[in-house]
Amino acid sequence: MKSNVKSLLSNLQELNETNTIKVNVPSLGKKVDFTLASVSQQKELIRTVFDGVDGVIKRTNILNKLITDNCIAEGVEFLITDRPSILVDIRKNTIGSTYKHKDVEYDLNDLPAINAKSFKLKKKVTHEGITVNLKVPTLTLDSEVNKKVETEFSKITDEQEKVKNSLDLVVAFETAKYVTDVTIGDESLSFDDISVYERRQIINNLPLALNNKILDYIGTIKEATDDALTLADEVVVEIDANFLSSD
Amino acid sequence: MAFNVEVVLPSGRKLRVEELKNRDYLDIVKFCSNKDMVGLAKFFDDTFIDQDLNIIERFYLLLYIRMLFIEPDITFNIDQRDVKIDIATMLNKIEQSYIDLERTIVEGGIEVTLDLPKVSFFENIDDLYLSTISSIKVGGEVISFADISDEEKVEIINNLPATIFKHFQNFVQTIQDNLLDVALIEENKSLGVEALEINIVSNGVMHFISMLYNTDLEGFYNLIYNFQNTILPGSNLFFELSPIETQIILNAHQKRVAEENERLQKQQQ
Repeated sequence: MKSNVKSLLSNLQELNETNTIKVNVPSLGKKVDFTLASVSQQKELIRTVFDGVDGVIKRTNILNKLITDNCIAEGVEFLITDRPSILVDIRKNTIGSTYKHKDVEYDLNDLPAINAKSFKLKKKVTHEGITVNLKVPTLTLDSEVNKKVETEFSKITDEQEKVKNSLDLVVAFETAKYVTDVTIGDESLSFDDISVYERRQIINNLPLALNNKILDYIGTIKEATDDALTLADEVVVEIDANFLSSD
Repeated sequence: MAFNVEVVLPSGRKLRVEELKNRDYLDIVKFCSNKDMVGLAKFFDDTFIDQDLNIIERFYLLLYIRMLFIEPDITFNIDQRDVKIDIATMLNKIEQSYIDLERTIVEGGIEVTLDLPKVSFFENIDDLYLSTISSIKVGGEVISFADISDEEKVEIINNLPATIFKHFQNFVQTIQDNLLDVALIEENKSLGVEALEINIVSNGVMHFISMLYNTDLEGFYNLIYNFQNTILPGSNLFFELSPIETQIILNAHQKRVAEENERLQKQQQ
């Protein structure tokens, strides 16, 4: 690489570190400094549009990585409930606050803040002697599990088969993200100590009634994050491949 | 020094272009026959095109070379009639539609000069965006994109803040708005000629160039054979001539053969 290119890249990196934006992180209850998204992050996101079902999972991980990489403060454990607010703030600072849906323009500044009272950060559910502790997953855990889903998806070569199996696969892995431990009688198992695959196996073997309670809890969080992305006319802001590149 | 001619491009820039020889023309015809637009564009880039030329200048130059060294007209067969359209008219149309769209954008301390894409063929959307950047200035450092490798360009682009991207998109849109459909051939109902418009900032340019340069490959090989065995036996001059010179010599040869045949016929009578 030529020395003037190296020098320009170094200037660019310096500039990127100083050109920061304030981003609201709900779980911390304050604004945190972030660097702007880069063109390479933007391109990586756009490329997922060509990856079909796999692209949806990849996209979530790309966005999670963008959040953790661009946060200047170190060691922040973001929750998945922080994601809408952070991404919307990054989007507003990248291409502006206008959001177009079916040729109608909306302003992302009109989005409500996530209602932290509408869900619990932790919850205990029980059924016939089985106790399951739940909590809102971190982005780190979300990405870790998503990578396993990606691997599972890659094993299915037929695209139609992939679509057919995606719901079952995603629900099982998604549920595993929220469980911290399972206690049956005197025996307790921390999900931190077992593999993602083992977590999924345990989830698949829980009684249906208990599973439904877990899904109810996940539902409250999903509803809260959806509400935080809902504009007037019930228009939900889609965090898709073009989220950082077009209105 | 090989023979060359001065060409004044629509931008006003002057350059000298070397004569197209049959040895290069044979390669061009092979690329055209294979419908290999990427290969054809790379061949032109390596042989005739200065990397600092924008897509319109490149298009103009390739049309000019076609006019000067192959044939000044394009022949269409319409309803079993040959209709000739001169390339000079097309060149005039390009000159008339040329607009200087260069602009500099400043975003967060980064200065980027954008101009018409300096590329012959786009393999993907990244090529289009990369090729519209003329230079970039960050801090005191200015880099001309014509002077660096593709890998270095990508490295720089990847490190730009995404806020810049919307300017690229807007600029490409501006190009499309101004140069979407350039009329190269006007409709002529009496001759049955339909209007031909071309989106200058697209791969349609290279497809059109391919159509203009293409010729029957088998016929070309026959020409080589005849030239080397009957017109100039034992000579390798064919590959050093331009296609238009070849045609002139071929015409002279055919005229002489016709005259000799006529003379022989008269003697036999």
